[in-house]
Amino acid sequence: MTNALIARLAAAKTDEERSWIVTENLLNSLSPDLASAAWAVAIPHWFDAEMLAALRPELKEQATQLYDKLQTLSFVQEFQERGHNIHELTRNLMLDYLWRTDRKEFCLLSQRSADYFLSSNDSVNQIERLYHLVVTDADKGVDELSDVAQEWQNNFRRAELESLLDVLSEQVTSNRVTTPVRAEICYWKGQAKFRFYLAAEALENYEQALGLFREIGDRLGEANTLRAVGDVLQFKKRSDEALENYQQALGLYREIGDRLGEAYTLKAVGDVLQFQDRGDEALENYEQALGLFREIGDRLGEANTLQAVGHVLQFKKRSDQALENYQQALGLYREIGDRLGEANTLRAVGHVLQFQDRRDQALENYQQALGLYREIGDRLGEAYTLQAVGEVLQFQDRRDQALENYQQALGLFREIGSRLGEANTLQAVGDVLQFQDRRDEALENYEQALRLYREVGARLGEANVLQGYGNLQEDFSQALEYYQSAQKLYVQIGDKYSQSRNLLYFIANAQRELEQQEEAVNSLTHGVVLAEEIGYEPFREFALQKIAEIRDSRENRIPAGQSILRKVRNLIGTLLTRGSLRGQDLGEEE
Amino acid sequence: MVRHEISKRILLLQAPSGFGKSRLLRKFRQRCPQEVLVVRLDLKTAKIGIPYFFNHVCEELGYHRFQEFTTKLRQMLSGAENLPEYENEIEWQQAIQSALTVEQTLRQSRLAVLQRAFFQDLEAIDQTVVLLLDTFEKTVTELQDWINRELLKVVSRRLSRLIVVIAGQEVPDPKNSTWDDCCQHYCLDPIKDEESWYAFAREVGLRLNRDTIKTAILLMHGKPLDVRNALDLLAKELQS
Repeated sequence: MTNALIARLAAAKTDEERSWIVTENLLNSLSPDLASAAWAVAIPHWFDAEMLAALRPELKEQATQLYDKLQTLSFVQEFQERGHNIHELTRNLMLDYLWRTDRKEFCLLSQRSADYFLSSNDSVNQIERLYHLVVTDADKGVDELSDVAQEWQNNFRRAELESLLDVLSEQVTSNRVTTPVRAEICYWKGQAKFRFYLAAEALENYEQALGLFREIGDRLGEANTLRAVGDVLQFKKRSDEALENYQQALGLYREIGDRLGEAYTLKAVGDVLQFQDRGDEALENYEQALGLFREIGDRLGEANTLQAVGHVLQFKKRSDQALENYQQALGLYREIGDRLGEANTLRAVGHVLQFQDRRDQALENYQQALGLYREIGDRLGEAYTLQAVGEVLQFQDRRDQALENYQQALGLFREIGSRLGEANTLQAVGDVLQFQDRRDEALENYEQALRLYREVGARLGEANVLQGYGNLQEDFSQALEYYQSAQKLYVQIGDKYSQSRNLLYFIANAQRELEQQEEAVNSLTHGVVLAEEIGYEPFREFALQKIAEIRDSRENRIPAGQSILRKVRNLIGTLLTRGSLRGQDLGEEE
Repeated sequence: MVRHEISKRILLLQAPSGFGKSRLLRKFRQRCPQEVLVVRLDLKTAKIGIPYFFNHVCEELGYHRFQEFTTKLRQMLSGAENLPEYENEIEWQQAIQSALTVEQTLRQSRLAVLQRAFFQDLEAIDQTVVLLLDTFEKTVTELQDWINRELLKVVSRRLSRLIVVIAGQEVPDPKNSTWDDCCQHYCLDPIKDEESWYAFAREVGLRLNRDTIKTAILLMHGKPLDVRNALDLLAKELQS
């Protein structure tokens, strides 16, 4: 090593500086053609002879020999399946140097790389093309990035999108891209993070994107980002803040006349309002969104909104209208060939029909949905539908068949690893066994369900099982203890429907059996208050009837503890419990 | 590990860039006995994530060994009847990608079925299989998570003939994992031993004396790629 070189290395302050001194000297020691080739192949992430010829057309004739020589250099390594690459450490040093000292040459080589990778539609090549294009032609780069990212996002190609953004981040970190490119990359990074439910990281990226879009006055970018922020906030159950962001986005979309953006935002606003139990306002927003989707001719947006309208109407017990909307959505899903949308809607129709006591028709819809789920291989959809079929069969007193369906659902939930689905089904099996007087087996299933609910932290499920335990007790004071434990959990969760149901159908009844008439009246009265709060008339009617019965019985003693009556009461209560669980299932699915 | 003389079956090699991890993996491959099946996969090439992993392993070991996996895949894409036939690896990769490029819930459900079949097929191979996975930090989150949560778990619990070596600037974290008792984790250090570098220089045909090598090690702080580049430069200077 020459003294001058040693002196330079000894004087270098950082590892990076030392590495560059050695690399620079190594490059200088190469023949002019080989050095020129080495600088060119540092631009892409990998290279072969053909790529070298494209990057250095003047060396085309010698490309194969130069490629062979490049492979002998200490900083060149094999790149699996695609040729070779300059080692990451050396490559970064070379790119930084070239960018600082000869930007024109850097851009020329990047442009040639972008052109070279244009020849293939393969996602790996598309990623590499965009990596170069965002540096050489920012406008075109942003357009192509936006198109490719949107396409991959729409087609569930998440891994490719993440790979693209990781590669583009290299250019951001090295400060080689303009603000519009950085803004677009931050926006899509937010989208990619949110796909994995990394809400905090998504928000961080969106905040950066928002700042950058505002800096350059890109209102469409700003509107899209505000909507995306709204989505994350809603996911985090910060629905008021989500609405604020959606409202800001709406304003911007209207200003710039972007009707599709407006339609999607109105639908999102509707979803939040529905979540906040503001069904009428949700419906208004959905109606507006529907109008726009129809104007634009976006049939998928229309179908999804019709389905959402159906959910609100069913929640409001306007089931005939819900059915109408589902039927329209079904037609659209069939037209555009969206089989998953079709299956989900058929299942929703089944739920409405079951609610309307049209059980044979419910079963027909579930069977159609099952066929579709099996066709597309959606095992989770299949499992939920088998569970729903089981519920209908249980209502129809076809308990052995119900058990068969539950067993199939159980197998699928276990295969997929959905512990909540497994727990819900185990509980349903326990309920059937309870009605069949197979007490020990019922207990076994409840115990398994309880363990799973506790593992996943599903307190509603846990409470329902405790209620089920109560139903299995011969001794009413023990039953009452279980019901009261369940009640504590319902209160903790804030589930007024379940609190009311537990008070009316279980706690009050146990108290009556134990001759605690005053306590029973108190429980029924409390149950009525809760039923009125949630506007659920059947509970209110039931409670008032029971209070009247107690008053009558005080005057005209009616014997308590009749097992048939008890069974009927348990059946009603348990089926109401299953109804409340369905919401939990859907929550997990969505 | 390959001779099953120790109970560990997962080897993690962690080091910064330029410390020779990839070279070490190549050496491992060369030194594996002939009867051992070795699959090397540089994860930075796995831009499409899990489908690429499945295809690469099936392709390297031979699709004929993955009957359960391929049957499930074909059923998934066509229903139970008229199972499609795939002619080559490109078509298989497209088929896997197509099965898993679907809405998230459906994807999870399909992935659960495919991975179960894949592990079942791997378990049925009656030879030792070594998976050498490089540049772990450079692949997509989903594949990293899958390796961490599914592959390594099944290696530690069931697949007693499968050995997994993972190299990277970052590697799966054994702490709080379900497989840490089955894992050996090494962090590579700079190489400052003169004799080792002297032997290496001779192996790659660099004629340098010990003093020159010592100077290079000292100046470059023993960092393998830097020392290697410095040795090359010195050899060229001496030649000229």
